[in-house]
Order: sequence, then structure tokens, then C-alpha cells
Amino acid sequence: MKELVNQWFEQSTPFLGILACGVRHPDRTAISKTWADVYTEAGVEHALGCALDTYPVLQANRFPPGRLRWVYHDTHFHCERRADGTCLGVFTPKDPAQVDFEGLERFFSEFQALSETTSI
Amino acid sequence: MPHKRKKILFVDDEASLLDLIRQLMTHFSGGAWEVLTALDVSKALSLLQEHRVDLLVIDIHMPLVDGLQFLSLLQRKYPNVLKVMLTGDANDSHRAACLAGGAELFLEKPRDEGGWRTVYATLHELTRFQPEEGFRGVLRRVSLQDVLQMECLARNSSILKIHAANIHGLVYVKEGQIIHAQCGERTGEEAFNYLLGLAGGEFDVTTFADPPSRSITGSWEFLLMEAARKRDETGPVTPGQSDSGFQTPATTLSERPTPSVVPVIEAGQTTAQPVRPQSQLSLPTGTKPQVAEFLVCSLQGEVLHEWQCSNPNGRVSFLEFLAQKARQLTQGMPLGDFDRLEVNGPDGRVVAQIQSDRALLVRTRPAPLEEAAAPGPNPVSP
Repeated sequence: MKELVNQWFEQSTPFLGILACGVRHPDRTAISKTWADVYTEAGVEHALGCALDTYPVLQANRFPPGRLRWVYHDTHFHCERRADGTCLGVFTPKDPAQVDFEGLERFFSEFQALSETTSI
Repeated sequence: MPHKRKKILFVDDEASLLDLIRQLMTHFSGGAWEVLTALDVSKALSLLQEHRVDLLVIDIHMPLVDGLQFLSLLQRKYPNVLKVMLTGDANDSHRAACLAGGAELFLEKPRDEGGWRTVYATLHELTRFQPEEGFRGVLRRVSLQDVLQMECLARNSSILKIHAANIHGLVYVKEGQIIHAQCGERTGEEAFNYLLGLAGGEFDVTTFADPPSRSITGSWEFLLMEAARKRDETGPVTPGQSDSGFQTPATTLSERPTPSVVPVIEAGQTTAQPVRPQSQLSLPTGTKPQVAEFLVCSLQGEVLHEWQCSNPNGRVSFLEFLAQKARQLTQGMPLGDFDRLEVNGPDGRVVAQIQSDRALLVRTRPAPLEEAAAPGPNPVSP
């Protein structure tokens, strides 16, 4: 499954507003892409690690599972975790006019829909 | 109109001195002061919870928790209450520590009735210039959200009059609850969100009067969070002028920095709207979010308000964890200051916000429209 996710991630096309994104696997390996110089791959992968740490705490608090949106002054960081523990994170600008939300939704939908039978 | 009696609380570990003070101050004030006394900090805190105290006069030397420690606690918990330190052992180091700790005055305990009369006159002057209602002091770089939050936390009753170009709006706060908003044809939450979304203008906090109707019943925390979220999603509303901040006649007040691209949203105007997030961010059809719980705590972990939290300490721990994780997440990246985490799912939504002085958690769940419309309990009633 890990190879399939990586393959999908490598081939995925960016949408308007995406600054950086990454995938972190349950074995703690990660891959990432950035479209802005200030977002380093190491930084994105570190952020994904932080986001993943949050899920068990949310679960312990019995908060309903869903997409996380970390709202910072300049940036939003969106995260989703699949049932198998793989996590996708996407950085976008805070200004909604600069973001293609349909593209963002499509990106997460494809990520969640990936299965062994998916052909890429 | 009769003046409200001032409530002055004296804290000293000498019971006989407190008796003397009560008699003298009541006499000097001609009954205009309600003199409260406490022999220790715990009694003083209890009285502060029961009464809206105008002025606290604290002895420095007390057993267990001394006056300076108490002053520090008061600054965190009751920053707006006037505080005066009174001591029989006045020295420069105490004076400096007390004034730095937030005391308005540092006075020496008098030895005769004439001295007490002088103390009374000084305290009277201090209280005389404080407005009985509304704000005191000068606020800088404060947003409408901040003002509303302060009004609600203080359980004040007031009307916020908001003006921006040709837009005029009113937000009614009654005993710390936002009960009504109107702006032109808009009323209720629609008007509230619209006003909170304005990019700039002026506002005044004025004396409360009953609104024509009550159009808002939700908790103020949730309203402010939702307004902030909507503003983030749609961008601020620019009412056709270049002002980039709210102003009062006395002070320039700045709103949050305006994003570089500002969608203009005016009634009847066709403007390109940003695409709203869909799917997981949307609630199921035929439902409306209903507050399931909320909690406000200080950054020291003290629960300030909570409603329907089955485990407040657990929520505080979660907010502490979040504050730490949000800091770690930014390492090496230009994300800006952390504002909040949103967890959006079909089964509900959680918003956890970390502010400079407090943290807030609101959990909502989708409820059928008819259930959501039914009047619920007042979440912040004692």
C-alpha cells in the first residue's frame, strides 16, 4: 500500500494555492513536495509528524474523527489520516481567494479512495 | 439618579483593625461605601466571587499568602479591580514591588483618626474617577472580537454601535450574553457575522437598552468562533472605503491585518466568491450545528468557563498539548502565529483556539434543524 500511495502522490497534480504537501506512513517514513522555497521538505515532514501525534490525543478525548485544519496567521495546514494510519498534509495560504478548494477536496478524496485495487 | 454604593474590600489579618476600618470608612463615606472585610486571602477570594468589588485594599504582611502574592494572583484573576496596598512597614522595596505588581497606590497605615481620614480621601479620589459602567483606560490594537469577548467575560450589558461607510450595526450584550444583532435588513447571527467580518470602521460601547427582539440564543464563544471562521473563509467585508481598522473617537483601534486579496461582499453586488470547502467540512443535509460543550481556560490551566464538559481537566490538558504541538509544528516554516485547530467531520466539529491570554474549546454536533432551533439552556448562566 505504501508504494501505491507514494506513486499516487508523485503523480498527483498540484492545484491552485498549494504551497507544500506530504504523506507520512505508519512506519514514520515520509515524502513531500513543495512549491514555495520557504517550505522545506524536512519542515513539511516534521509538521506531518506533529499532526500525526495529535490524532491519538483527539481520540483519547473522544473527539469526532475528521479533517484537521491548523489555522496560523499566514497559512492553513490541512491533514487527513486514512484508516491504515497514512497521513496526508497540505499547506495553503490563509486567504481563501488564493485557494482552489475543489482541487483540495479532490486531492483528499483521491487519497482516501486509494486501495490495493486502484490503478494509477 | 441615586449613585450605586461602592464596594470596598479590606484584607488584613488583624480582626480589630478591620473592625476599626469598617467603622471609620462607613462613617467617612456617609454610607456611600459598602465596606467588606476579609481576614485572609481565601475569604477575600470568596467575597470577590460574590460581589462586584470596586476597590481592594490589601495588607502586605499576612500569614500563608502575603499581600504581594495575593496581588499577583489578583492581577491574573481580577486585572480590572483597583488594588491598593496598605502597610505598617512602608519601605522602598515594598513600594516598588507593589506598584510593579499592579497596585494603583501604596499607602502607609495611619496611626490616628486624622490619618485614616486622609486614607479615605485618597481611596475616595481613586474610586471617584472610575466610570461605573463601560471601559476604563485606553485600548490599542484591539478588534471588535476582543471588545465583545471582554464584555462577555465581564458579564457586562452594553450595546456596540458599529459604523463603516454607509453601514450601521448594533450588537446587544446582556449580562455577558450576545442576545441581538442588527445591520440594515439583517438580524441575528447573519447580522453579527456580517458586522464581525467588516474590514474597518468605528465602534462605540454604549449603555444597554433592551433590543426590539432577541435574535441570538447561542453561546458567545461559539458565535465569535463562527464569525472568525466565516471571516477567514470569505475574507473581510470592505464597505467601499480604504480604512483598514476600527476607530473610536479617542483611540485608533486596529483590526487584524487584512489579507492581500479582499473579496468585496455587498448586498446586491455580484462579486467572485471563493469556493467554499465541501464534503467533510459540510454538515449533513437538514442539520445545523449545535453546541455540545465548551470550555474557556487561562493559559495557567484555570478553567474560567465551561458548559457540559464531562472532563474539564482533560480538555485543559488537550489545550496545553495543542499549544505545544502547534509551536513545534511551525519549526523552520513561515506559518505565522497559531490561532486554532479545527477538527471537521460528519459527526461534529471541534474548534480549539489558543489566544494570548486564554484558550477556548468548542465542540458542536450536527442536530436536526427542528432540534437545533429549539431554545437550549443558557450555557454561561451560573
